[in-house]
Amino acid sequence: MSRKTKKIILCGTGIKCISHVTVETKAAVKKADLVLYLVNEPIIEQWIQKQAKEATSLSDLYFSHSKRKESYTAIKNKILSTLEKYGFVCVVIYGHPTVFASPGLDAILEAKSLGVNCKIYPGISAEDCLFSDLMIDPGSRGCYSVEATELLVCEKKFDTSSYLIIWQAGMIANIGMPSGSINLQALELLQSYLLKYYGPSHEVVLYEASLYPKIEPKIVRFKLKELVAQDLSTISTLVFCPCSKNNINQKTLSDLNLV
Amino acid sequence: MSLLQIFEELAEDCFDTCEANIDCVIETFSSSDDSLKIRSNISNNNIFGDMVLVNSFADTVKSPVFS
Repeated sequence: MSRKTKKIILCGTGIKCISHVTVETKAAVKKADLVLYLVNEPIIEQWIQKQAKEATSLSDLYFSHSKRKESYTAIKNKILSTLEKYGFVCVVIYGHPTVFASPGLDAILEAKSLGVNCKIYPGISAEDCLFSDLMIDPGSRGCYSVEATELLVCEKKFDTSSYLIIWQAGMIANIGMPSGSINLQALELLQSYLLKYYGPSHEVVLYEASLYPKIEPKIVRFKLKELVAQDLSTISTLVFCPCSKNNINQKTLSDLNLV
Repeated sequence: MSLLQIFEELAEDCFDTCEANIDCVIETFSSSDDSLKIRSNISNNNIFGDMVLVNSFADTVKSPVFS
């Protein structure tokens, strides 16, 4: 079979177990010759195994390396080598498959460059859940979304008149596998960096989306100066609401006849 | 009723309607030990009794983190 007749679909199962699976993702899982999956919960794994003609977990591959970057390369290579043997491969990743999830996207981009028919179906991300559970419209003031380690190491600049969302705060300065420990030194540095933008009493929301129906999301409100004392996990996200007004350029408003 | 069947029912979660249909509800989820407590009122159920602790992804699939 030539590469042009081969097909790969990358899709996401969302965060909440089974509830977030879309109709098109379910169809892809059922129709693919092989499903490769990396999910966050054993029930969704059972669901995939039940729906698919054939399904293989990427979990062992993910956890077989000490650095996540090495895992991603191994997963990408596994996906591409699988395409050599199967006509239609579906890759399933929890959440949204291209939001803070590079292995599937890397494989898709390489497969596309080789002439394989590629599609990506969106899934519900943790951020989507966050907007719903915290009743936030990111379009109302703008929103800056960034991974914790990148924010700190690259000293990213952001606008405090917009929302700030910091992903994976519990994984800060960890380039290895998820573990039960938090790098408190890095968390202290993050707190110090954020204090350049916000006051010590600025409210921060610690958010974790619910993985299960009937279970509420974790929402803890605290002051920025209390960040290091928080019970963060690998799925914790930090949210900062705007603390300054939009800086409106009156001349631009006038030039555009928006006054 | 298998755990998967229960979750397939619960997936159509809409306030309390599913509770009536399957007579089973997830009561707590602990992120500290990744465990679920499921309360079932299904009589003569060989799988679930009251307040059965179900190991979630702690012992089977660890939750991967990306980026």
